Amino acid sequence: METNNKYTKFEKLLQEKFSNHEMPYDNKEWLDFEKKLPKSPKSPFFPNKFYRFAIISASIIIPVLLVLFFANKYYSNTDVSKEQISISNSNTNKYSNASENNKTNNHQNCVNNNDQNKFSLNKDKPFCDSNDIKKTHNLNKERLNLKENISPKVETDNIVSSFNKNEKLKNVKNYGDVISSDINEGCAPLKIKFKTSINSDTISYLWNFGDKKTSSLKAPFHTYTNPGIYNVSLTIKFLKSKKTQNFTYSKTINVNDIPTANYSYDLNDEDGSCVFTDHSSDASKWNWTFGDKSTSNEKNPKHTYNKVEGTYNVQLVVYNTSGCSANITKKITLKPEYQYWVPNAFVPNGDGTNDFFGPVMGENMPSDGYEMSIYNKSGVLVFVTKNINILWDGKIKGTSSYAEPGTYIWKIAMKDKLGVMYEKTGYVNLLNFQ
Amino acid sequence: MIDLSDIDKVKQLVGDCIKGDRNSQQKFYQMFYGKMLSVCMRYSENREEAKDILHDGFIKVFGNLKSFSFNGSIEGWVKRIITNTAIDSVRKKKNFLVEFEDNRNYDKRIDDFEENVEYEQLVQLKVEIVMQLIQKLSPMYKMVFNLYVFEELSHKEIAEELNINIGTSKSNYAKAKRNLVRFFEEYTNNGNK
Repeated sequence: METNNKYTKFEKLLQEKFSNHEMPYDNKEWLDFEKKLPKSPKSPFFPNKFYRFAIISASIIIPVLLVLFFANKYYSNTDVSKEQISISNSNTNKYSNASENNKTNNHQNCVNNNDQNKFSLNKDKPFCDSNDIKKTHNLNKERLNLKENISPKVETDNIVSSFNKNEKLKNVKNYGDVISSDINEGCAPLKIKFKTSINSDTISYLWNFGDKKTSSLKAPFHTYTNPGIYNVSLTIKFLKSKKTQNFTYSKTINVNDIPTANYSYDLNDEDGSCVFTDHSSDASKWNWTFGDKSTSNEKNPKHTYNKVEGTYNVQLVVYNTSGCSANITKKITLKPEYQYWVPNAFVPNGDGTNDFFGPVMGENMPSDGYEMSIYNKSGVLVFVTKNINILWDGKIKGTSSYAEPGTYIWKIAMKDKLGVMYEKTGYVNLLNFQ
Repeated sequence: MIDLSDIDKVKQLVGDCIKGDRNSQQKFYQMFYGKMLSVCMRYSENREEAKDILHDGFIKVFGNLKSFSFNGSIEGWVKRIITNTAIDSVRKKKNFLVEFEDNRNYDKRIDDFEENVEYEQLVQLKVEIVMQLIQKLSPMYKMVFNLYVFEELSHKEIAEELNINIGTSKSNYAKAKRNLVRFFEEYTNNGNK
């Protein structure tokens, strides 16, 4: 492998120059590129060739059928290819731009323009006398309940909306039925199913979820990953219209922030007591479970385990004021280390003190797996025992001669209560005694 | 823009792109556009050609996103596809002619013409200008130069990649560099006038 040193100063300079170079972005090229990409089935308003064909044929065939249908009925000269959208706000969510409603609703609006339960959006020209029912759709947003901020925003300027002024608020509220969701508020990440009451195959839908994500499904699912207040809007477009005409409805979704859970603990191996310190953020309620069936609601609880060994899963669940929760679980292992003391020198001169070398054990020391080995400075084993009661008498193993005075290395291995081997090493001086 | 080190966000973006979500695809395109166009510029003769290579490359990127396994960096992955697309595209050119090996030893002479380089001026030179000078190289020289300096391939690897022998790679590289140094000198001299 050749290294980077293969490059000369000139080459390195060029590498450096280009390493972070970026050409300026040109969105025209994206638009150019987008055409080359395989058509997305979800592409809103600009469907593929098949769709275009279907729409064109639908927009030819349906008007023809409508003309035929109405030719013998009420309006022999009506341009029925223009869409009528009738919204009944009395009790149903049914919206229809289908043919049957055309005659009845228009008729009723005409004849009975005080009927406050009906209004119609008539795209081009009202069927009725404009003085009767013409009312510019003028919304006073401040009067709306902001939490359920559901208002129709009609994007075309030639829309005539023929409902009674006094019914304005009521009607506006009923626009809420246009967009419905299974949840309006919840914790992040929040998955919501949206529905619309406007159903027709000749409508295209564009949902804007307010977090820069969109969908063109009729009933999309959307997941909000970040907390915030989102204004969801639905723009519908009637594909049969010759003129582009969009209707937009909106609704507010609250995605609440979630807290983060964290804690630290200070464990005392001697008595099994443990002090937990909360490090969560945005928490207003704490639920601790200590892994031994006991719990606490304190912020910084102290808990004492009645067994000084074992592993416990300690879980902290925190809730914030909006009721969103987060949790964290840590494994806490109580493993008291056995205490024993090892002298650093001994004199095997038979005077009754310090004649032997070995560990001085603490209470309840397990002898299981015990092994003590003594090595000289060259690493040669001079003594070994597996019996915790046998100490080194200073003699070379298997002989009756004493080892040379000097420094020796000891290695003591034993099993802890959990059965794990652990080992310690150290030095001991065999002092000159002869 | 997405932070590329945030693997979850990258995964989500890639997932949305696979689903065919236009907005995500645009975001993805926009994220890599600048760097990748810069790569394509080095291989091509002008911006138009570079853009075509970039778009061919992005088609492959989007078509193969499904197979990206998140083992390495997505930027590296995208860059490899774009670079391969660029190499393939240049190879197809009519004037992509291989200069046959000559037996002169170029290794020693390479540093000779580098001695003339006025580094201080080169340091100050805009990348865009250097890019133009690189673009002036003949397709083969440009290719070998790119592979050696920017893709950091060895002459052996270049030889395998282009199906030429190592000596040819070395001599082409030396000539490419000599030409580039000359273009650079010409540019600075003209600039000084």
